[in-house]
Amino acid sequence: MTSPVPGALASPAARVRGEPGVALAALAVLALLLTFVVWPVVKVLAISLQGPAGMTLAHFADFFGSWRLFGILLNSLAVSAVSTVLTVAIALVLAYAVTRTDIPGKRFVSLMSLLPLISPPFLVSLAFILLFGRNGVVTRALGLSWSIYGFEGIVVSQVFTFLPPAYILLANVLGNIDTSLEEAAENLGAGALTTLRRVTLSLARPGLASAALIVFILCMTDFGNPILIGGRYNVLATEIYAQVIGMSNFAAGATMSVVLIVPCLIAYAINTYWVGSKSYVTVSAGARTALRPTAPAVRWPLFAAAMGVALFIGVIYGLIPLGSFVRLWGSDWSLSLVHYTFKSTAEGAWPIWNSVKLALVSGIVGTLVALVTAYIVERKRPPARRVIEGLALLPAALPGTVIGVGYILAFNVPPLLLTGTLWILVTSVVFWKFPVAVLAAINTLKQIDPAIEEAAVSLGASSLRTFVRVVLPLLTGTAFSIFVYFFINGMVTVSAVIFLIYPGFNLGSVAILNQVENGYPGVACALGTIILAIVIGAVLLLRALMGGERVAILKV
Amino acid sequence: MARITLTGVTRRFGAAVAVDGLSLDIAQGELVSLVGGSGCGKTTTLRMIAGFERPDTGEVAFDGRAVNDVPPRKRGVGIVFQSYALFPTMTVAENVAFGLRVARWPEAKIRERVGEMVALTNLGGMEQRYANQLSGGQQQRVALARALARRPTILLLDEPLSALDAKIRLRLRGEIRKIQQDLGITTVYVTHDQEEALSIADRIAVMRDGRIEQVGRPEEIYAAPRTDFVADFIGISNLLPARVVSAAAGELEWEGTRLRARLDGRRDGEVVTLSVRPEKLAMVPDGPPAAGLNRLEGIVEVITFLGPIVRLEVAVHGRPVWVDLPHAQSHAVARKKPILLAFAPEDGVVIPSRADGPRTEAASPSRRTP
Ligand SMILES: Nc1ncnc2c1ncn2[C@@H]1O[C@H](COP(=O)(O)OP(=O)(O)OP(=O)(O)O)[C@@H](O)[C@H]1O
Ligand SMILES: [Mg+2]
Repeated sequence: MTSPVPGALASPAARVRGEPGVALAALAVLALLLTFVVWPVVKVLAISLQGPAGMTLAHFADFFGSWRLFGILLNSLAVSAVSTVLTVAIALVLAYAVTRTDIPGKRFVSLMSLLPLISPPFLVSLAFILLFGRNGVVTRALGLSWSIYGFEGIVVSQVFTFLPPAYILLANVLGNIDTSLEEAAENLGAGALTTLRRVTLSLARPGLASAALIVFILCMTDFGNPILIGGRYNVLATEIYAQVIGMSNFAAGATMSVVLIVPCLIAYAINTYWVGSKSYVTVSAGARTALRPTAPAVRWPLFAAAMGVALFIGVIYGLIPLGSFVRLWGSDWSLSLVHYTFKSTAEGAWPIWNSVKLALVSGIVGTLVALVTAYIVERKRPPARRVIEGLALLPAALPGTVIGVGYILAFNVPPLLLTGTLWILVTSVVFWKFPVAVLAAINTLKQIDPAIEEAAVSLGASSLRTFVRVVLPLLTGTAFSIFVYFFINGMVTVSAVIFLIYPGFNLGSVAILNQVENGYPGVACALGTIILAIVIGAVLLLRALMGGERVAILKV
Repeated sequence: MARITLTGVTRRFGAAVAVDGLSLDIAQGELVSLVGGSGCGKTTTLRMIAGFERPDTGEVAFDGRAVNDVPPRKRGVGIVFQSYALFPTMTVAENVAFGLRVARWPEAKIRERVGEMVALTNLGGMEQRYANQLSGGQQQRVALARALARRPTILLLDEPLSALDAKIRLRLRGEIRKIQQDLGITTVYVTHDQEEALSIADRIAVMRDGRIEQVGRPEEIYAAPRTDFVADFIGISNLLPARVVSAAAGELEWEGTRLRARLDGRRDGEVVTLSVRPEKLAMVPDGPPAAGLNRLEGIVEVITFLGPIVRLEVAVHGRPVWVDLPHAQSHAVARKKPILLAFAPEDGVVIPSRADGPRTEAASPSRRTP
């Protein structure tokens, strides 16, 4: 941004002092973030350090002293490391194929890679169970005694669950590389491999690091896949759930939460403060992005790889509806609608409607709070701006399970007695998923010329009036994208809300887990299919109402 | 150093023809400038010489040897991209050394050659910097040093100065020309800046719609444009659509005014374009016309000061005519006042009209000025 920020010369404090409304809004946002991001984490930390006789490190000594518990941390790290390497490697091949070569079918690859973004995070596991589980198609057909539960299952499920964010990030990085750079290398005598290594990949290195760190955090904090397909292979996220919900052992749960947060925060800090400063801006004036024909020896293998992955994602998501219409997966292949009667559960289809309710409320509340936060951070720049921004983005490093444990601990006493109400679910979705939404709004604001607002102010409009009449209309597209983002998360998220649901208010995503655990994969598939249909339907509906591309699907 | 021969080269992108049957011969050590409007195919032509685009038909040859099937990395051509395309992950020295490393030169020779190139392009002290720590002009020089390090026989430059501001542009084009002449390297220099082309090139090829409209030495192109497009594109010119009254007597008619010019080979009644450069028009005092000069009467509409000269837009028969006057005469003109202009018959260049007529996108007096 080259244009100056309004009132750039005045000090932050002076700018806000002139506008009590802005100061109030900034304080309100800060209070919300302190309450719903900081306080739960503080509570978790406090419980982990609290013994019968004041502060103690005994819980941590227990954890690191027990080979079983310490092993769970190693399990988490091992599974995340392997998943990360595989995910980033596959994402790199896909992104390279789509952005740097002229393979056909690029749109299909991009579309398929978006699917996991809008679905419950563990549908991939469910599909793998349908394929390779004890009653899986493949397992049965080959008469295997092996099944996918455990380490391998978690890894393959995580790879296909977290491929989209890695792919989107890398496609962005690779797609922005000026083709003249590669041509310059070629012109200077470099062969294809030298160019790839010394120029293209060298430029993508910060992007690769970033993708790896983000995927690592996602894998460490992943709850849905390990709980469905992990079998006896425990990881921290699921063990926390077992300790807290299974054994009501909050101290152990909180201790493990702290242990889980540490590597996530480290990865987050490296990505934000170190990798972020390393990225190269390669698009310059007169840069070309037109592609030349790719050599067939490169083109067709890449095409095959990209199509293979895209088709496999298609199959994975195709299995869910298929599984919902088959009477008994693995033995009775006749088609039926029996799973849609939800006879296996007393709740029937209610959890789905609860999810819709949660998604709608989260969408509205989240969008409002995110827009106001972004506007204050980006445009009003109050004294505590860095703090507000830092806190707004921090949840990106927080595991959903930790949010869940923290919310139970923080909001079960007056005056903030939220447990057992819709609001504890809404705030957990909104503030856990806050970073992506705020960043999207900040980025849009950065593209709006501040002179437009200055013009309104110079014509005598107040800050509030300027925001409502001038800025908001320019943000409509982003606002709806943010709404969609919160809506989707309200529909599909599981790891935080599974701690917070209360009797009579189950959610669709959690119900899927229950059904799998109770041995009704068909009903789980039916629930998954309905959730997918609602999410896709909502996106398409909003797009139709708002006009196409203005409603985007936000990425992690 | 090599001679470049393009023979009937055509390149299509889908239905669009970017370069259309273009032929051009570039002598060893010569600097030829390709000029023309946006999208006329300059870059595409350059990329075919570099090997990044393959001609659909026609032949690209170096020293008489067809190179259509030679990949870019084997052509021995150095190229400077418009965006410079410096590798952001490498220092200046590493950028310059890149081609030598790829060619597996011994490390000592690489260091020596990088030193030479750094000296040649005045980059001393910058060796360890990264591209984003250099000014635009310095980046441009690194790009040139990198392109020349491998001793290519041909140098290609695609609008090398377009991203720089006016003063640096003037200085760098002098430097590029000097280096080019010292090395005697065959060079193709793409620009859309006709003034740059006039000042730097041995010969200019004016392109339009994928074809070459005229090739020649700068002074030829300027003094004797063969088409109204060239007359309009190179320098600025008044293009008067006129009708031949008598070819033998050298008489034409424009907007009811009789004018004289050389009309060899024209037919009576033919419609032509008379091109008159603004600096060839002079202000004359009232009174009896000087013998043999063409006279135009008009009203001064716009006066633009351009340092040493003053450019007037004069309405003659309601049509704008541009006139450049020495600064000393500027006090004698005023807006909305009548003015009397004259030019010698030999200063009007007669251009036969084409079916497609003059380009309407003509420059206004204040545009395209030095
Ligand atoms: N890779 C491509 N794909 C499709 N069309 C192309 C491609 N490259 C060039 N063209 C088209 O070919 C024509 C000539 O392009 P070219 O880049 O050679 O023009 P140019 O003379 O260099 O223009 P400029 O002065 O704007 O750089 C243009 O119409 C352009 O749109
Ligand atoms: Mg060009």
